Amino acid sequence: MTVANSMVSGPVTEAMLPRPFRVISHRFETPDTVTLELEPDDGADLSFAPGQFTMLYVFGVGEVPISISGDPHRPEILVHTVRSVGAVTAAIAGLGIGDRVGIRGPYGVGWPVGHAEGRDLVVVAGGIGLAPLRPVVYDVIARRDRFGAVSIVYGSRSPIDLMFQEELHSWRSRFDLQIEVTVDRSDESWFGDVGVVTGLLPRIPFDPERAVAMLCGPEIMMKVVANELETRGVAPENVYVSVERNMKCAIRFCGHCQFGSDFLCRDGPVLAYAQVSDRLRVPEL
Amino acid sequence: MSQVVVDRGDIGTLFEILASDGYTILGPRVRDEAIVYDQVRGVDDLPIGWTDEQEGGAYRLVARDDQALFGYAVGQHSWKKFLFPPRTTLLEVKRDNGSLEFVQHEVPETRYAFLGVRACELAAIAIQDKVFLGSGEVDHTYQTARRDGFTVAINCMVAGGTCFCVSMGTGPRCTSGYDLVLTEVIDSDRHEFVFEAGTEAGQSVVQRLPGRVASDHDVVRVDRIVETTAASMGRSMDNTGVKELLLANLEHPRWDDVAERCLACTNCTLVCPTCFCSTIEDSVTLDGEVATRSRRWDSCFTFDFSNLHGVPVRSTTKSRYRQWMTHKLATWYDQFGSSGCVGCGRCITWCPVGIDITAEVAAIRASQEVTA
Amino acid sequence: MNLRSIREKSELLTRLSNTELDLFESVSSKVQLADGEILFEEGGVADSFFTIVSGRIGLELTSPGRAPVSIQTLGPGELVGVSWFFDPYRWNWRARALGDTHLVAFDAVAIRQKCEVDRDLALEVLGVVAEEAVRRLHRTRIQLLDLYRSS
Repeated sequence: MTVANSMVSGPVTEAMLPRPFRVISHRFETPDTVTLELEPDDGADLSFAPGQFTMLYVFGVGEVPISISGDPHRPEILVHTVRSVGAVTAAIAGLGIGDRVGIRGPYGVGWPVGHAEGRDLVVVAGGIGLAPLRPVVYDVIARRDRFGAVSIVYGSRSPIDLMFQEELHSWRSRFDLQIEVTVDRSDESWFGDVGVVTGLLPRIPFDPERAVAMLCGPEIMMKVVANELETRGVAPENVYVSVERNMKCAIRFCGHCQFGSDFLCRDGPVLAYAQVSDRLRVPEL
Repeated sequence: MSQVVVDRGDIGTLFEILASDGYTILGPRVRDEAIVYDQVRGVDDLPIGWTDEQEGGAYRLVARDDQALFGYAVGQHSWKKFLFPPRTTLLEVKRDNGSLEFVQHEVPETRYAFLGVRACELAAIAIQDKVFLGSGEVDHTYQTARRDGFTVAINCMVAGGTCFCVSMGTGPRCTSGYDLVLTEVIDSDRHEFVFEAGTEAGQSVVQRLPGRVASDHDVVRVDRIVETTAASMGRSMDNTGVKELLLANLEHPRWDDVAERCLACTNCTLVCPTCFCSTIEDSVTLDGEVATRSRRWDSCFTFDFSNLHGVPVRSTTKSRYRQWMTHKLATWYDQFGSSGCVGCGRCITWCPVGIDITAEVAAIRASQEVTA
Repeated sequence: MNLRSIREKSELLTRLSNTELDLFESVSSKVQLADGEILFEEGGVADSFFTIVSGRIGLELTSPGRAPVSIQTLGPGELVGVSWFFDPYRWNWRARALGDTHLVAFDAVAIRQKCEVDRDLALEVLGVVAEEAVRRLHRTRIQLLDLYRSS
């Protein structure tokens, strides 16, 4: 039957077959969030673009999509920051040094860092949303002269939920970027900002006509921030969000990650706000 | 490609040729009071003398007053049952002293001859070709089954009670995607099959069939049969601008209306020949040494299909019905360049409450015309 | 003091006409606080209101036996105080400087008196205060959603 042969676009790949990786370090960022560093058994670096994710498999438990949270300039170590919310992520949080997992990927469309070159960059993260954005910050710092004013705004639930505290301090100590951190609710130890991330936007320097914004966090937060940025003159075409949906295969076959016409594993998860704002307004789309 | 007419008495030769060429022949047969697709070894396995009566939420077999071999429309099975099996093992994971070994499961060699593929089904297979073979990754199981298969198509001699292939531009005449197409002709003085090859492989079979060259009269007779079928469709759907229509009406009250009726039973997705959603399941041997990952059919109608951190994004039946229908008729165009619907009518017949996709579209369209 | 130099950066002053700005200037004064200094106390008389020039103000609630907890932080350009415009003219929170903070203070009593006789001015000021209150409400509602918690 010749019809099928003509449709084959490339070699058949074992696309659902993971590669074994070994946990080389494990640290709790917050009570329910863990950062793992992983090395591949076969030694082949996992090169990735900021914003991409892998499918992480735990023996006998299952497989979940996890954003890569490491440095794209150091692909020899795969870094994942995982929040324990279900059976698989709880199992991931419970892994120890030397344990093995399966990794497929990287998948997805990442953050448009190239588009931000020559422009001001505004990175806004809420909660665990800082994890998929951290690779952007690493990349920008490594090539700092290519960008205009760079600002990071990070909102967290409370002081104990702040992630990447060492990085936050190190970024804060730099003179070539501005970082503002806020919490929704504080405790007696906190002398920083209290309130939502939108309250910090007036503090950061950017030229709205030429800025690129990258937002990651709960959908409500991304909508509120995108709207606030638009009020301040940033066009929705220059605001990027990371949309999250259920994923099973990550290779455009299973149908779970559909968001309107987009398959988020292939057409996302990063999308321009101008492309998604209508869809985000429809409940349960 | 030449057309050959084979007499009813000689039609068994088709089975002999395909079997000797090493094919497992899959075709229609009666089981549990319906016509299903399964292995058929000879003419006697076919639903001789049967036809089907189909309506929204209703299907039954009725005896014909002739001995036609293919005198019915389609049942609840579609060919995706073989090309995209309901359950497939993908890989095994062996755990040994802390290390993991991932082993791809071998895809079994299959050599299927599909006997009795309707025009709507050819269109559905072409659509699933785009899904599973079309871009980037290729589905190994689907590709293997397609590559080594043989397709004997049929021009329908009856239209089903819920059929609307004419509206969708997919039938009833078979125009491409087959190795052989046949049309069953029954008159008072003859019972014959007009065969036409579509490929060289088909031509090789035609040459071995005992028959006579088709005459102009035979060709005209086939045209008449196709025209009659086309004129007796059970349903119709105005498909113009349906993508824009549905995507502009995502919060139309009609979705609440259909949600009152829909049971989210997933029948429509099971019987639809183009639905392709799946999920991946994990299991482990009792001694914990070997884990398996398998793929099985899934449906966007299930409650946890859209789970995000344990909570469904589409928690209401309304949102799930909307997802299914807008995917099938609207977003499919953006994803794969065509409609996802071929007008086979299965979703209408097999819906326990008779929800009719053509009526749902018509209702939304009508309300727009009133307000416009 | 000359408010025109900070006008653009102040959410309050940027909305005032030139005449109104002159009036506000006439009842203004500079305030400078070191880190940790109290701007006003919970329950105190609200006879001033402020715009932050630099630094930050944390709004706090105190309770016996506990260190105070900040519930919201205001930054440069933001208006501090809405209670001064409404009876009983008392502060609901304590306000404390976080880091060295410079503010401009306005005489609330004088502005209220002017609003009594000049209803156009009253409408203008009410508009500014109400808009600020709505924005705070909106942000507080988002804060209440506890968006970052585990589901």
